[in-house]
Amino acid sequence: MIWALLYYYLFGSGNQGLVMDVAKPVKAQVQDEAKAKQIIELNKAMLKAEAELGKQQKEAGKELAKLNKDRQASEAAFLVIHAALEKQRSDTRKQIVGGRFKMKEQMTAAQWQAVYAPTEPPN
Amino acid sequence: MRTPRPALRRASAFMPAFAVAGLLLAGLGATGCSKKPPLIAEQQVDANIEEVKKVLRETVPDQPRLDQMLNLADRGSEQLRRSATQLEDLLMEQQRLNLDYKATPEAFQALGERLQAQRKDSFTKAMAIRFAMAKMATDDEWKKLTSEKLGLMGL
Repeated sequence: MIWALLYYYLFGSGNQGLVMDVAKPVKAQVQDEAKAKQIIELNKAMLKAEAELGKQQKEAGKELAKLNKDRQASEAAFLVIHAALEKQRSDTRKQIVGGRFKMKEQMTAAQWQAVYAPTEPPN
Repeated sequence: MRTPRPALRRASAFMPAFAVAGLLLAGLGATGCSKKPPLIAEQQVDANIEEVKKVLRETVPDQPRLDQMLNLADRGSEQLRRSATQLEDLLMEQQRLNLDYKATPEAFQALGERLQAQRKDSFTKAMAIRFAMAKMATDDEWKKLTSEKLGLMGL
């Protein structure tokens, strides 16, 4: 129950807010086509890394579900799965944050703001 | 009755679009288009805990042990809510940081470490509840609580 909710849905990748498909706003904001193309490629790589982590997380969720059925499963067994996934999360985050800064280098502050500014009003 | 946080209330509006196996998150990573951090639906947490309690009431014959296990289920629910709130706050911070053109790699590193610590803390607390429940249940009760039929609605 609770751990399944945590794993499948609550934790997510931890990269929410960093990874989103920004191809459209980049095309609209960055007039230099070559530069826009570079930025979009970086963005695609970040999205791919995030999707791959999603798959790994799903697998970890399945492993946890299987383990959970064993009432006498040890805590250590759960922690092994958790630790492996945390390592994957950490590696993916480095890749995504690195990509974020490479994208930023190609954009002005105004372009960045226009691409990433929230489109929905605050609460 | 608890008043849900605005963001948690907002989750219900996204339910049709983001429901996955009956649960939902409206997330940046999950959708690639929304700019809101992920949200967990309070309604689904409530439904989940009620289902677990229903199975407990149907399965556990002795009242004192049943009461203790129901209490654990409630603690699990509260923990999930706390974890959701903590995570939501961190993800809002991350969204703000990402928007800041001048944000440094060190700031992202620090936030990443806080996210990791939050996950570890939530996981550890969830595990403690799971193990307390497993210790109290019989093998047959545990089997019912974790049955395929219940799926994510089970323990």
